[in-house]
Amino acid sequence: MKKLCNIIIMAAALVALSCGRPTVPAASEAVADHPAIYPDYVDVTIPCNIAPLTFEIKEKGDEYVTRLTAGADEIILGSSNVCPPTDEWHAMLASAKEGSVKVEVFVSNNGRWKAYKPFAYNVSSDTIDPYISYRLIPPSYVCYEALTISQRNLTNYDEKVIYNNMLGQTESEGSCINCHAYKNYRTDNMQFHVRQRNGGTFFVHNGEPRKLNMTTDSTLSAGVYPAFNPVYDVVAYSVNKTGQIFHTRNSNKVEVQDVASDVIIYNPVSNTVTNVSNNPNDLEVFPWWSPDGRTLYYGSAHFEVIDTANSVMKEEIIRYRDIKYDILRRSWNPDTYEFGPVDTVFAASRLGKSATFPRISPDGRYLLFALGEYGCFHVWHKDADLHLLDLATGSDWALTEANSQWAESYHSWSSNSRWILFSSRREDTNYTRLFIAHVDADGKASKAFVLPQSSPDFYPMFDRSYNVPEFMVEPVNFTPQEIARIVRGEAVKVEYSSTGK
Amino acid sequence: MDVIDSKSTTPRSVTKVNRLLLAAICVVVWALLAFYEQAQLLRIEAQSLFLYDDLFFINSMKVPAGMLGYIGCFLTQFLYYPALGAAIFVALLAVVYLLTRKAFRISAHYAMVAMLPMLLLLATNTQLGYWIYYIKHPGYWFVATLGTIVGLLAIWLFNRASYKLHIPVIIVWTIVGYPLFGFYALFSALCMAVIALSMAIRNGNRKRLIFDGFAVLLVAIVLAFEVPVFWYDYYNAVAIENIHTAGLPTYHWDITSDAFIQSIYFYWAPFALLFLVQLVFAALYNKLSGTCKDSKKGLAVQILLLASAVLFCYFYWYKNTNFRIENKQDAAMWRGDWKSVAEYARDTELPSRQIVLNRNIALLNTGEAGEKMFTFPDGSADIDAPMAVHLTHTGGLMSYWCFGKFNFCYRWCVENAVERGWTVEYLKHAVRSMLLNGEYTLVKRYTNILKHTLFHREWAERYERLADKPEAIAKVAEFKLPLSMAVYADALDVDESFVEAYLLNNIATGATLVHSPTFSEAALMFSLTRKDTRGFWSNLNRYLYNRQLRRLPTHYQEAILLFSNLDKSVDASRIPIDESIKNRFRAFMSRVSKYKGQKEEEMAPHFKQDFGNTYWYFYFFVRKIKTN
Repeated sequence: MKKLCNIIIMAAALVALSCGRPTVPAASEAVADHPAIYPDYVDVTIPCNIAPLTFEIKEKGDEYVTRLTAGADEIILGSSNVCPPTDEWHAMLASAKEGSVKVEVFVSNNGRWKAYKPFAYNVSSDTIDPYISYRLIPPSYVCYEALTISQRNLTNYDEKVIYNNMLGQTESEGSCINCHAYKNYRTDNMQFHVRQRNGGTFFVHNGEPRKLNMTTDSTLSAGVYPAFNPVYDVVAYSVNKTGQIFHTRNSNKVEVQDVASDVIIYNPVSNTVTNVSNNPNDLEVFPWWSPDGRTLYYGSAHFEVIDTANSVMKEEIIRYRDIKYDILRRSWNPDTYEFGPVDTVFAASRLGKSATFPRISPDGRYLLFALGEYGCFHVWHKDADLHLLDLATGSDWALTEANSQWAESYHSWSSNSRWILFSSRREDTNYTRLFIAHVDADGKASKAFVLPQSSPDFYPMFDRSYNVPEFMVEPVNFTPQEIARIVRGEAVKVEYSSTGK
Repeated sequence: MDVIDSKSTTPRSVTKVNRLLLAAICVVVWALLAFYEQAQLLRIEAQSLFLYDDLFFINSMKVPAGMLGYIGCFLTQFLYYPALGAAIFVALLAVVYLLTRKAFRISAHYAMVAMLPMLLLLATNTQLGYWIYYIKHPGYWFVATLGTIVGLLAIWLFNRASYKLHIPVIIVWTIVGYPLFGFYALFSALCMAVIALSMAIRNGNRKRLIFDGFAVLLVAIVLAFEVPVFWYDYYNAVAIENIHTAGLPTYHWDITSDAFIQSIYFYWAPFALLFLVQLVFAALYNKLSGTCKDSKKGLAVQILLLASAVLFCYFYWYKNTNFRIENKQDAAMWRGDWKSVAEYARDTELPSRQIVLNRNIALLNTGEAGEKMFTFPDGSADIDAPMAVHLTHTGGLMSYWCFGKFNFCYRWCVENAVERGWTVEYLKHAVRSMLLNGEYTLVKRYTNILKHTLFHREWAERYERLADKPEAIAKVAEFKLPLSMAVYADALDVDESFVEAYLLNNIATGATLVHSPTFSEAALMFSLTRKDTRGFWSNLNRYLYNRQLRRLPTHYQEAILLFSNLDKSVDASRIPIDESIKNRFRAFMSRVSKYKGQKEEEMAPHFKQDFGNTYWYFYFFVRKIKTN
């Protein structure tokens, strides 16, 4: 019996040893290149409060060891899937602020270890907002079904559904949800739209949820792309009549075009909307407010039908490459609700380009937008890149370090103006993923890195695209079912007011 | 005299007959599924997806009854080998039979009635038809059977519990069972309560009737309503309207539409009877456990019930010829067996448009279009389905791919995947279309997913290798037709969900500057289908330019004679026409004169025998083609 116990103890010890902490090989052959890893986190700049970056070593091998070091802190992992423990990771980042974490990868083949050229995570002391939200949707064209608006804690991997489209639709009556937005990164003033079944806008005003019917006889449509004024109690919306048309060969696949669009503002106190601009030959879209709330920015394309035999839609299909958006702005007086004259901020059309999604950093210094060859829906344009305009100097430049050869489109600034979150199709050309890049005080971006997930296998198997990424400093606390109850209820009708008050 | 089994009072002959009957039913059902429905089973597998991946499991479990869907998808993958998949399904039906007897204590003397649930479950599957393209219910083919098995197991265990434990068992079962098995857990709880009530009634004790009967039933009913409501707050992927029916298929429920009536009285009937039969068994619990007092009468009733169930299965078996041909054609197209694709089109008198499209693709592939295209039955049979069936959801993806419309093929893969989730078929079309569109990164995204399947890994690896070595693509025989059709410049276009109409118009009018002989032939074929005289002459010129032919194929000669006869301004005298075709055309025109003044429908039979295989017959008598 004693003998048996000894054998069991020895076996247990052996198992424990074999499952124990991996060790860095004593001898290894140096390799001049960085290891191939997925996702590509080589030499990226990360916030000091981000969730652990997990990656897969794509080098062939029998055994793997990865060592992360920052000062005296060390994490050693022994698998091709490198997944640092969250607590140890955060402790390491705390000690590496304004420094870096060194990442060494060792791969063994037939007992011979190779040491790849180390790379670094540069740890910025600029924190990132703890939450983001986004819409998860298959990279669809016309159809919709299973889609959610979800929120993610950036300091770990927790993801929660804010609202699931399936809560509001039945087999015979579908619905769609889109355009979630927040005021000042907080969730006590927020909104998203529900289309078709139970259609309306879920709108939270000072913590009170309600459903709005934003259609009026005097506006083109219900509100579409929203922008909460960060200071005053108004929300700007574009109103759009939108169509889709499909490429027969081009990898861009689809063009989403507005045949008409204007900008309106909504006053949640008086529950009224009013037109800001409604020139039929100007296509205005994607409004955004300056941080002081006194200037409204938006994209605008001037498009006139040349062949009068054509409808606007037909002509837009024929001349889709001629639709070029500039970025304009108009001052706004919060006392009178009056807008000033139009001022062109970035005349993309003069460069033969099209600029959309103007977003101003909360410190008011930079205007970030997506710049492509034509059109407004750059998520389907592989030439679309992020572009920055220094509002103080008027100079502009492409965020080359953050961009890729594929579509970069929807983007938002962190509340401290140091991080940008944007969608990109660089991973597989069709599924948008979220990338984060640091932008320093001089407007220089760092190499972007994909939103970390708990497993590096996640993205290749995940069949949803990330839409409309927005930073938040706090989570949405309504449950999906609470929102569903509001969505199922009656909508409050919004009235039109010529004064906007 | 019957020999009595030593362990029971059942004569061995009865047991033997039951076993033989069960075996006979199982063998017949298996043979029908594995052979008669072979092509459909392949298509059902292609319309499903099971991935060996954590994320797939997590996503499956995000809805109530997710476990049923997950296991259902797991089993559906074995339909890839129809004989194996059918065997698994039949084995599960046999389990249903055995558990029905166990759960409701049905003796061998009443064994035939215990076969009703398994036959009704069979009908839930064989009734589907075109629903296989529309039903949004992962693992549908196995879900009802698995749900029934789980429910019967739970009832069996319930019956072994003491009276005092009845209510706790029902509470625990509904709360734990609903997330995993949805409606089936709720329904089996109701059956448990009915059994308890039935036992209490027979006991005759008033107190027991109240506490062990009605109280249990009340608890079960309340739980059946309230447990899904309780769980609703923990799931966010199901509407409150659907929480009680989680695990059941969702046919169209629009109460104002015609489809509603058909859904209720047709598609739901096997389910309704399945549940009704089980409730009756529950009510008769223990009454069917002994021998029958009037054995002849009992046997007659059982035979009547069983025969009715068999007839019900026969009636509910979807036997539409065109649907079956489409599935056979699809399987043959994936195999590259173009001869069979064309020949299957002869097995119907009035084909669906999908059959005609598939046939034309096959003839283009074999180079026989000009000789054989109008020798097949033609027309546009109505689709035998209660919902609007579009080719974009059925075989249109294959048509788009074959005709080189890769973006449109891909688009409908994605659109359909949005509605129903990715399936093997959508993934494979996505891989093939993006491979030929030169989007290799995207190809690898989808091959990577297919590599997580059991039976499509090798297929995916083959295409992945091609994505890594694009120069080899042009040499693959399978790609010859689509590549020869993909000779057009990019344009913005829309198909309005009508695949055939789009292809006919787009290709028939798109050959002007094209140097592809295959494309110009397709354009010529489609101008004939469209009965477009001007288009025909234009496409004929392009066709003749692209092909140096000694002899024009028969149908093109027929069209030349017809169109030059209809429009005298066209001089086609220099195009050589076979003397036999000229003679036949004269005979045709002579017969036209003979029946002049009659309606086309009256004339058609007089021409079918002698001219049914000519373009002239198609031109004059195949009318009112409606595409879907």
